[in-house]
Amino acid sequence: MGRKKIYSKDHIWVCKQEDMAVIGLSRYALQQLGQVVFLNLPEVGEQFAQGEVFGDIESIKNVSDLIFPLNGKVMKVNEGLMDTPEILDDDVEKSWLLQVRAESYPEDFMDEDAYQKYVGQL
Amino acid sequence: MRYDLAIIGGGPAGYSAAFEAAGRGMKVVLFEKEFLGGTCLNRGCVPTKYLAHASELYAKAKELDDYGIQVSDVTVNPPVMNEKMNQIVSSLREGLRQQIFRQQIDLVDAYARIQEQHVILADHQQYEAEYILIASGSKPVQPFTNKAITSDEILRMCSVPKTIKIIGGGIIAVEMAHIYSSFGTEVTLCLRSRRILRKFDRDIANGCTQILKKRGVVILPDCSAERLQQIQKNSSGPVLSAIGRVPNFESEEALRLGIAYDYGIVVDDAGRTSVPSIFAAGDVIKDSPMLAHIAIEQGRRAVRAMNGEHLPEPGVVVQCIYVHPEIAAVGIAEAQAAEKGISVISGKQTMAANARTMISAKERGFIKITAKADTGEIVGAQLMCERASDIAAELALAVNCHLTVDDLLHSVRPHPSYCEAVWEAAAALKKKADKEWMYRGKMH
Repeated sequence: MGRKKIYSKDHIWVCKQEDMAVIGLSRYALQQLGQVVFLNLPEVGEQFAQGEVFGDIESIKNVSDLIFPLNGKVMKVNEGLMDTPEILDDDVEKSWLLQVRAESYPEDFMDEDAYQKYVGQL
Repeated sequence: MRYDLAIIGGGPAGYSAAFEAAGRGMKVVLFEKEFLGGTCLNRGCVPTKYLAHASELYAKAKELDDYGIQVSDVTVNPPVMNEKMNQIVSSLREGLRQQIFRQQIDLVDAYARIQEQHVILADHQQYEAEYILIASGSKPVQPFTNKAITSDEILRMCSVPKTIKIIGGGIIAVEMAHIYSSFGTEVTLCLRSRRILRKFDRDIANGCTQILKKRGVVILPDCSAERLQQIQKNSSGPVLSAIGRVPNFESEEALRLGIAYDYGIVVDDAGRTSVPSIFAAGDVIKDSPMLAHIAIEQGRRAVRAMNGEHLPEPGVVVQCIYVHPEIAAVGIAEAQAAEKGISVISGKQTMAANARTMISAKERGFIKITAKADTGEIVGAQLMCERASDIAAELALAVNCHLTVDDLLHSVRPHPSYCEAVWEAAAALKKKADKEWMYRGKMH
């Protein structure tokens, strides 16, 4: 899997893999959440548009919606992660959430440097 | 003798209709071929809730050390458990029988068949009635593996098996998996589809899956018929088939009587069939949610309709799953709202920060409330927490009375209590809605 990430403003990282997009949650978001206790992910075949809620993530005190970063269809779900959400980190190989057949990528994705600058201002 | 109302079936739909009718001065006869109370009391809700409670006590007893209470030798005694369960069922049945006599309802312990539109035949005798209510309930779908047993039979089983395979992923399958895993049985849930509780919100299904897996329940998705046959063949313990229930009324009978039938008796929201003198209520009707509390309301509504009363819209359906923590679903969730073209916003509150939950429970839980995006009117709620079945009543009332998020926020709840999380979920919803409205305001 390629490891170069681009980020949405909603703290979702995306790794482009040919026509597929592998998506996960940024380290910044995970730090804000604290220990994760539950992950609610969609099913294979579901279609989402950019900005739609595709699931949610719970830590001890917070629940946060997961916002779909592009337009596309869910092709694979990391179901093992739903059984052990506490191991979630930002590793592409281990902690990807979904593999998505991407229809289009929005223009406002940020590279690593731009994203770090963005979260530094939050 | 001629009656105002003849009822076939003494389950929740039948007895609630009988009491409603007798209370209105109607002369009523009730036919029950087996046990008063129907599936709910004899083979459904009541015995399973007893077992669920017993299994939960057993699991809790093992956690008492955490509370500084030391116990030793906690063991299960199935014959005692079974006897107590049967006592409760018999006592409730007897209570029903007494109430029936007190209200001067004629009870006929026999199989009843509708002979003509106003005539019932039971025990070689004819009974005439102005109205007939069919409340003959439902029965388990026959297992497609010949060694498997149904939920009726497992409740008569007087032992706790070492292992059990359960075919199905609906409410009955999940409740049985919870009960037996709490007793220490090795449970395997064999699904024909991808996930359990397909008719429930994904949040509930995923949450329940996580809890069952943590209890050691093995979930096998996408099992083909061949695989199920194989599982049954190789199983050393019982195989429970929990693949659904079907109406207890033959389509041939419906055809003979001219009653519209489509995998259940077709009725309007007052229980009227296509034959004016014949009504139906409960599990026997088309698309029934097969819930006792819905059957009770349908039985009452049918009687009100027979008396010419104008009926309000049926109340919102509340579905409960008695696992630990309890699960309840009220009204519609986000996915159903999307199907109906209703734009909604949801607010979710985890129970991890709720004081009562921290004291008494270890499992993860949440309350999620869904409201219309434009008005804030509550349309549904999903709960997975302690006493979810009780808290659901507040949210069902909110939906039925078209209350808004602000209404929920203006109501005071006791502290500490589980239901405080309703306020928190409503506050989360309000926060999201305010953002949305602010955004929309900027757009205009």
